Amino acid sequence: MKKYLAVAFAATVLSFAGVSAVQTYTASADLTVSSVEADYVVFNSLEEMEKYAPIVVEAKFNGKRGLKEWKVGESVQKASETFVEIKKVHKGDVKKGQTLNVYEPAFTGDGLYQAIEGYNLMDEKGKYVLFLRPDMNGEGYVLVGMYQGKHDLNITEAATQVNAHSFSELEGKEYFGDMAGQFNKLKGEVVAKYGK
Amino acid sequence: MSMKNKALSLSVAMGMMAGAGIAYAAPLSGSAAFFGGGLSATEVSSMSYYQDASVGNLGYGTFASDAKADYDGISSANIGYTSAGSDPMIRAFAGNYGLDFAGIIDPFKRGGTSYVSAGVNEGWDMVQIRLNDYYMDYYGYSTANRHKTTVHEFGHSLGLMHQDSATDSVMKQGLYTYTNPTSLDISNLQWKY
Repeated sequence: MKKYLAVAFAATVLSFAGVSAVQTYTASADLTVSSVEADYVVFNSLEEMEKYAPIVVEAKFNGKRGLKEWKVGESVQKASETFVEIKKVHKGDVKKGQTLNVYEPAFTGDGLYQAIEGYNLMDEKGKYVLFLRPDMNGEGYVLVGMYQGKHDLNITEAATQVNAHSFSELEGKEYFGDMAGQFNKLKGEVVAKYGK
Repeated sequence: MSMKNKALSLSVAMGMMAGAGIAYAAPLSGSAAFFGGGLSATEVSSMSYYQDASVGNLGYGTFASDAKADYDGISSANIGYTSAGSDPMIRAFAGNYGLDFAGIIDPFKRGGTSYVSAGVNEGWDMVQIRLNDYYMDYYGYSTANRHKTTVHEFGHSLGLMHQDSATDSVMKQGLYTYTNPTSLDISNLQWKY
């Protein structure tokens, strides 16, 4: 079992004034997986997705991850706030070496690995092409199209749908939802244009 | 193998997959059209409903009313909505939810004196419906698109899963203009309830 899955859930809370608290954590292998379905724009081509992404970068996860919340009344949307270092800038007003905080549509809580639409979190082994837009408040960056906006150049196997019960079943998988055909087609175009 | 050649190989492999096209799935019906968990049939027959002020304020009030009437009105399906009461089972909200989706449901189960998140394959006791208004503005959703998203999310709260893009269903994800459940959706709900 890979080390990053074997690490038990541990939180080291680092608070920065004026910034959401950052915890460093990795998800425990025995977390139960819950992937909810959402309504969203399905991109039929890279060209279509790029229209909504003012920022396109190649980046690596720097190991720091926290929790982000948006609240409307009693309802709360949670996400992982994941810090990445830009290795290449393909598009947008950002710089190589800059650290971005990216909101990923998955997090752990209540004994669950909770994802939206089969999304798996970035890890430190990955080399990611990310399609981003600034969030409404300008505090961070949102993955365009959720799973559609993140592509790991180090994963060469095609994605397949996995009806995972345990987080350990998601090792090495960047996407595990029911749009694998569409994701793989999109990734093929992403790799062809940005994978060089 | 050099990095350049690795990238080329990956590109070729992905290109082959793209050229092979996307296989479309048949319409889901019966149990296949539903999450493994959800509200019970008894609960669905009389769902107390709370609508946050944000829903009306952001222009989704009519769509929510239509969605309830659509599902409540399905013949041979015991689906009903009641007033909110002190512990509403269905709770609808609208606003900015940060991530890149138009709508989502969040199922909960009772955990002691409060609610905790429930998986889609567990029993639910309460469901939040969340409409992501900022996202719909960003992607230029029309009135009909927003109406569809609302009906779609109410469908999820009844346990309906997504249908393939080739089917005729309000439960497809994406920019569509369905404003009512289709015959496929109705027959699935009649089967379930």
